[in-house]
Amino acid sequence: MSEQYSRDNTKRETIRKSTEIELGTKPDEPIGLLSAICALVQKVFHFKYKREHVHEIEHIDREEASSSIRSEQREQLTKDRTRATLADNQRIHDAKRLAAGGAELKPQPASPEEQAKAAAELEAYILELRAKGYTVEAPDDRPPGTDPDEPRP
Amino acid sequence: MSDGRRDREAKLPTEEELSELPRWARVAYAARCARRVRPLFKHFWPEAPEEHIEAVDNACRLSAASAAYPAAVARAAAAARTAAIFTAAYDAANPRFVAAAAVARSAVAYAAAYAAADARSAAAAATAARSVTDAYAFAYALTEAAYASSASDAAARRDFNLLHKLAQGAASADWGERTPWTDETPVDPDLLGPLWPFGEPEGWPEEAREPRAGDRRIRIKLTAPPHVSDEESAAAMAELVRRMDDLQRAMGGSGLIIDDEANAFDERLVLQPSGGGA
Repeated sequence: MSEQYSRDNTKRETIRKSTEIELGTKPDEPIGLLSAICALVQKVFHFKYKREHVHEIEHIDREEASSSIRSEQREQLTKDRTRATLADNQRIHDAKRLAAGGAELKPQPASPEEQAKAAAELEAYILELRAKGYTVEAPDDRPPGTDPDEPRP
Repeated sequence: MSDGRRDREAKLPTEEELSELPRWARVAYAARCARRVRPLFKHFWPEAPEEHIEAVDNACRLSAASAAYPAAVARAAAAARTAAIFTAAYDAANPRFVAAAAVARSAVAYAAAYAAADARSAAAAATAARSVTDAYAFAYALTEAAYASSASDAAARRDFNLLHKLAQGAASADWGERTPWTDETPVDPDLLGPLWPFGEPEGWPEEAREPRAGDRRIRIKLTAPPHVSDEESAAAMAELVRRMDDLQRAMGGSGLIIDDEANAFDERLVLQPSGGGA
């Protein structure tokens, strides 16, 4: 069991598995393609999670919460599976583009409806993960009220 | 006609259309318009006094911050006080939420949006800007800029259409139940993706282009609850990234790239009462 209580029941210890990856785009693509993803992740966890759970977060003893045990197996699994998923997605999107009339290979923005749908599906999945107890973060987080105009990260 | 071509031929949203958006969506729209044209201020008025440049930058930041972080509006309002460009708008407005909204709307949003659309003569920009002060300097500089085009209309229309769609919420098997936005819903302008989805207007100054991604990376951290296996955790991350990839492509990207490095570790969180002994 990874959750333990101290003798007087005042202190609760939780082991949580964290995984971090870094994502980018082609260098000549606008930074907005990345910041939109950050904004969506932060939308869910800034405006909902942190407000709802602020009491618990305030109780975290951050000095004691230092990260510890590396999990090489999970690193490898995450890399392999994510890379395979992105490759599959590439094939699916290439096929769609060709089927849609396809000589035009340069990516084009989808309709606002399709873009809204993609955003909604991502948000829905983040919410689903949150409901299961996961936390999703884009750690290059900006504090409220600071410069949202600056290209991030 | 393809969606992309239809978007490129679109017209700016009207005042009536904009009024259909919830408050912070309107401000986000405004912030995007301001962000798009902000670099033109310095381009057309290279010798602009530093305080004017700062005031314009503050206006842009404030509008974006207000929309994304209404809770930080008090801080934003304080920032507005320091920017001469906003003094009148701030004084005239309710010092709470209304202040930031009014500031963003009146000082940045519509001025920037319509100024970009009405742009005519680049040569007249600096003269016009010099002849007026504060908010008017910004508006005039943009109004006289020469970049009104179908691209600028299309970019603004795209933002509006997307905000309109997102604000409606949607309920379907694919999307799941979603709640429509209200006037209280924060809206981060970054959610809308690239500033120029169909490319910058022809002849757009190089220094005014939206920054390119280059080798910038975003870190995504997923923390699993106790009792989740490594396989489950890796599968959750992969699915998360797949949906991010779909969104990036829907915005006109060519797909996400994952770096070689991944970092997995266990975190020990100690939760304890902060208010003294139990």
